[in-house]
Amino acid sequence: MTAAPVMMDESESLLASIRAARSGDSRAFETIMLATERRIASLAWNILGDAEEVKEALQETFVRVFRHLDRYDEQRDFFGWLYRIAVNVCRDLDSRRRRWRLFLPIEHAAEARAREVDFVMKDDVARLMRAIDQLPRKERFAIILRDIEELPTDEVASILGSSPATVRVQISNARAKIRKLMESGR
Amino acid sequence: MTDFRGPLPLRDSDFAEVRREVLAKLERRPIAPIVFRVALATAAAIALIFIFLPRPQPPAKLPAAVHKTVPIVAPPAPAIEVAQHPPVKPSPKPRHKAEQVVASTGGPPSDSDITMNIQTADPNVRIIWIAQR
Repeated sequence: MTAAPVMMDESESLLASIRAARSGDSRAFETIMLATERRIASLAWNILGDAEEVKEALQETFVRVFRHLDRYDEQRDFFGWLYRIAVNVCRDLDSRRRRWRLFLPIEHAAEARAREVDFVMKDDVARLMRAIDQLPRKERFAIILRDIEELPTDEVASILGSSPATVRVQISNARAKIRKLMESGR
Repeated sequence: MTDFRGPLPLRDSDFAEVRREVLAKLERRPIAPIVFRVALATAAAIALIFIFLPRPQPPAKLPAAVHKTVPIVAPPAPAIEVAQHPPVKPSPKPRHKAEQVVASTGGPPSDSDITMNIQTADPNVRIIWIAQR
């Protein structure tokens, strides 16, 4: 009985902060950041797996949120909208990292690879992490949002801009590939 | 499964730093619109100056009485010495007979009209040329 009113209060106060931030109130925007930063950081950490990149993603996400706050439809879930922006930011950072990896000197790349392999061999969780990182981007994002962030399929589809059926296929493919990679790693 | 990468590696100070950076960025952002507005206002002011700037007046029109309708008389054409040249004979036949002269289907042409009905490569396009004889 007590949970619902508290949630209502939280969402009401978040909405009030959004409205105030829209009119340029930076204090109100700071309140929004405080209320959402850990969830966004957790998502970025699961996708990117690098602390510095998580900070960068967090910063860029909030800048984009502020810039597009007037486009947010109050009838819709704020976190869903926020997640969509965060996923796009992570996607951009991920693309940039892949581009940079091409220019990494060979000896550094080999060293980094050896470190990764050592780490991966430590335990199943690390192997799972490695398997997820090896997935194609769309499948990786789908499985992180669905299985790790535990969002419903419809919401994952909305965040990724796909249909629920596509997301189900992506998740199914991702699980099969993870299983295969986990088995081959043993 | 939510912590498959382990705990979040950010501390409170990291979050505070991110917030500070974001707010600093957002405070820097309004500079661009201000610069843009100033540039726009300057451009508008320059445009107004050009519009309302007194321009040199065009020469005043002459009074109506001065204007008279002067008949334009063509200068006499130089005399052509026809006698020196043999008269040009009209060729008996036209060199080309490219156009097919067909009576127009639109209506009965008068005797003094020539109607040329030219069928182009496109079967839907036909050029009908009516000229006086």
